[in-house]
Amino acid sequence: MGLIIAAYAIFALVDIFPIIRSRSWRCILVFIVLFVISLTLAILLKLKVKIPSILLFLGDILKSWHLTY
Amino acid sequence: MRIDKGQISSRLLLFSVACFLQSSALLTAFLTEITRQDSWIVVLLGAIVYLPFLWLLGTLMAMFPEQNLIQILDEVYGPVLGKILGLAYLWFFLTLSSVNLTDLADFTKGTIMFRTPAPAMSAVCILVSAIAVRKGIKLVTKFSPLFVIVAIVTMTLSTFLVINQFKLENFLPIFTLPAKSYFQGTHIIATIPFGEMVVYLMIHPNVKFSRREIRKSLFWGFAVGGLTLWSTTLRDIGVLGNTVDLFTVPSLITFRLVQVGPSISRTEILFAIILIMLLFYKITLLYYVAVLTISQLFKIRSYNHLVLVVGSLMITYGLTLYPSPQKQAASVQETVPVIWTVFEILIPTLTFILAKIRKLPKAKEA
Repeated sequence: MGLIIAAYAIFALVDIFPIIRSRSWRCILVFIVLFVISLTLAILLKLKVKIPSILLFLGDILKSWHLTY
Repeated sequence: MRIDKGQISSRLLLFSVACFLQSSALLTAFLTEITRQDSWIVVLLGAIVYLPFLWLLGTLMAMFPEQNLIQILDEVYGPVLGKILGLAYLWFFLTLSSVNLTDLADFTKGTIMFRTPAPAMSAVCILVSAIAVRKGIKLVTKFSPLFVIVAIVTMTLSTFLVINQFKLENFLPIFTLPAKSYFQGTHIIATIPFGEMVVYLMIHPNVKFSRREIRKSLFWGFAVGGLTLWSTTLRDIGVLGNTVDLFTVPSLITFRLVQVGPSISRTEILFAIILIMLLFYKITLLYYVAVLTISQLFKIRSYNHLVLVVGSLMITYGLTLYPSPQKQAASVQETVPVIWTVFEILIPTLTFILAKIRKLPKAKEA
């Protein structure tokens, strides 16, 4: 867990200050959203929490519509 | 708004397309499980079926030479529906990149680096790819001619080295499988390696081309990549026969069978290196396209600071896609071709029809 947080902290430090300096708020917002999603997924995976697969979920929907092989 | 100002030649586009398709050699296993000794026919059928859509892709590029896919969707469907479709494409590109990244990590772990965890290999790949993505399209595509030539030379050489084990009877019987298998196989090959060429709709504004040149580059790139894929399938069936559907990566086994005297053996390492090289290229291109799509959707002028965060998302998202290789194989054979058809065939075709009806793109007023 410590390694994951350290890795994320490093690349946040690499990118966040130049973005803040550039005052591109849209870029800051996109960066934060992507960063939070990625970090959350990494922590959940490390804690061995079962995350539902989007592709398998879509596959189940298609199967219920009889649109698969 | 063009985010990456870099430009590449149409010849580089040709090699890029060829390299992109050659990297799908890993995917023939999904096909051989269904169509076995007839897989070579299905690869051919898939290529023929995809040809009209390749023409459509070239036509869309020629119609909108200055706009990438996200901008085309905005113009054709309007800002709201265009953005929704753009977000859907963002998911598609991210999923494609993540699936390929996971494939590369699993393949490397299974063949060369048995003890290294797959996420660590994905991270290394992303760190190297990020350098190219930050520099832009020029660096992303720069080495594609080298990769294509090395792949062709190795594939040809390997074919000569296993020619003594090649048996024509391995192709028999022909056309004995149920019609559904041929249809399914053709659908898989037309959507999974060939249809993925839709990513080039994000890149074409960065290619210096005339209307004729773009179709020519796409077609010749498709021909080189498709021929490599076809000849690889032919060679594997000719050598492995009806056992071809038993292996996860048939080409790796074919290379393992090379035995020329006491000195030349265990050549599968060559195949492993080439496949890693080609997959690395495909991942870098898809990574670039995913970053570009995010920047274009949210109108961010410089994407450099998003590169690492998108890469990290690709790694973690990739790990959530399939719980096991068996689930992945079932999904690729049964549902993925249907989902991919929407992004690779239906939406581009509808976009083309609507653009023609609405007489788009409209000439800019002076």
